[in-house]
Amino acid sequence: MKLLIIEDEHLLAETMMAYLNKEGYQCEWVDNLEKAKTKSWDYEYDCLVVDVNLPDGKGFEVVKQLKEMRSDCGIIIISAKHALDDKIYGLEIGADDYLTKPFDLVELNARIKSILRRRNFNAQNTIVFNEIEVFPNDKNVKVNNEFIKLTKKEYDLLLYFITNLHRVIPKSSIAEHLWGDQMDMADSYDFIYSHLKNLRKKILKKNGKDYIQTVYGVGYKFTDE
Amino acid sequence: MKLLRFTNQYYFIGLLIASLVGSVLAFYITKYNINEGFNQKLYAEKEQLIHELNEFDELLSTYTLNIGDKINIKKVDEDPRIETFIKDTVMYSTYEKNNLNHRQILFSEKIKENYYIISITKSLLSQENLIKDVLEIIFVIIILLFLTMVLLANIVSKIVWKPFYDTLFQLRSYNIKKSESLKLLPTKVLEFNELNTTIENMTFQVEKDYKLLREYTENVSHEIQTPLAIIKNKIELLLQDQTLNEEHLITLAQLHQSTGRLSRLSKNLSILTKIENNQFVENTEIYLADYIKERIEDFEELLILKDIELTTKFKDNPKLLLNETLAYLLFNNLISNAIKHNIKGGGIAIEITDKSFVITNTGKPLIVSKVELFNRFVKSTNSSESTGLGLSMVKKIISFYNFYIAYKNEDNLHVITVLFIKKNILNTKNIF
Repeated sequence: MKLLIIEDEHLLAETMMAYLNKEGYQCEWVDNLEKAKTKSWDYEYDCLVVDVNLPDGKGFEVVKQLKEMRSDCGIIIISAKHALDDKIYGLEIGADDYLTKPFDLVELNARIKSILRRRNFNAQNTIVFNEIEVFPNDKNVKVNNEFIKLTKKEYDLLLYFITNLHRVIPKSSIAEHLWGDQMDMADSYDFIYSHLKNLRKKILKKNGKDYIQTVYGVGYKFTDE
Repeated sequence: MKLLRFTNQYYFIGLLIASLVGSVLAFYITKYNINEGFNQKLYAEKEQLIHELNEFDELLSTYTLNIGDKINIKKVDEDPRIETFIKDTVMYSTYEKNNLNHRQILFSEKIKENYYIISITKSLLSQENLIKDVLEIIFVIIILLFLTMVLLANIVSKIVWKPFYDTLFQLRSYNIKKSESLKLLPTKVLEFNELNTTIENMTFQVEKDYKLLREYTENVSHEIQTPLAIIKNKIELLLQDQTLNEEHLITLAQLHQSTGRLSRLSKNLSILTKIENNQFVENTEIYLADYIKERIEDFEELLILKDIELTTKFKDNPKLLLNETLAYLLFNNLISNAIKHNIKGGGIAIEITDKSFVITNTGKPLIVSKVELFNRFVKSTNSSESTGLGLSMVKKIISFYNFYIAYKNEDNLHVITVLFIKKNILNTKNIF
């Protein structure tokens, strides 16, 4: 999977690349609009991560160019502005998703994966982790080949974990993923705990293993290591 | 007090004193002059009478003449030596059938070897009438003067003060948040021109400062997000480091949380600034009861978890014209506030009528004062996750729409009432 990161802030781009490379993506990075336009013209990428504010113009230009090329590359727009207009405009011209700075890398990763999954629906569209199989189209989950019934939040949580395997995920990132930034954080931690408890119970019931590790004071980790 | 009334008040007092003094003076001067004239006339008549008595013999046989002036001629034997003098007397007039004031001149004279005491009595009636007439005229003049003054003062002040009122009107409709700057009309009056230039300079400076501040707030809020993203993401990378011990991880998680809080804080401040700058202009129609139902659904999990019972009483479903983002922030903040400051097993009641939204919740007594409740950074909990901006945002939105909000404590229940204004209520549709 090839990604192109268009971001003028070197440190930020560097961090994003470090994280996404570990996820097994091939990442390339450009720091201005012109280079971004040339790169995305010359090569084919699976997903583009575009910052709106670039030194030589708006990141929207790349999105427009890709749409003119009828490329089916996924596009995530990143903006420092919490402006609804930017978001609406970005999605209107064909971007797949929108993130505001500061975002969690876990969240970015989850969004990229979700886009890639949607783009790829010819292939078998399930995510398998050991005995757990997730069907993103129907929002169903099988454990040891048996369907388990999850609530929407439990499903979101499981998918989030499975797209971010073996990672320490801070509680605040989970909370933001599930409820956005409107929820009072202190409350949401109790929530996460209760949802996790139920999720764990449901998986164990079908003789699944408990992959959810608590990282004390930090958050959780979904891993079989 | 209006300026016109204020200045007129002094003019009136001045004019009143002047006219009082003037009329008193006019009264006495007129009276004196008329008296003098009257007396002169009596003396003249005396001379004329003596002359005529000396000329015509037969006149002496008439002792009393009572036509117009009363003339009394009394023959005496020896010289009475009466000095000519004038006195006022009251006499009965058969014509007027009344006692009337008269003035009499009395003198003695030697005519054709005989001595006579002669008196001429003149009715004062005409003279009194004259004084009365004069006074009446003075009063009429004073009243005319007053009327003219009021009229003139009104007209003059309208003309003279027009530029002032123009300036005042423009200042009143002036809004720093709008991009139009103040354009005051030039006038002929030096003082007003000076006033206008001073005001223009002042507003120009204020506008400049305001714009700078606005840009500053916006820039800070935006520019801060990129470094925050770097910090947050670097921490996330570090968290994956297997070599770190538990203590390190906890510290990193705390840093991660604080970064999130800082970001939320600056986003909320930026929203507050945007509200202040009227940047939320696009309105949509919102059916309040339906909208609140949706919002409550968002909070369902939280309500269950905190064991709070939420009851609704929707008497009406008013259609409001609000900006979507602001409506969301307003009601979301109010409901989340009622949940946040609630107690386990407590309750929330939401009531909607055609022009109000009332949210009541159980909870601990307020530690902050009622007045401060809607201020920025006032927190009733020490929770480090609270930005302390929720209710202040509510207040901002309320005042943006000229709505009314009030807090009261009733039987240990916290009650927040929002009253909408007509402008934003499109109609009420009863769907229940």
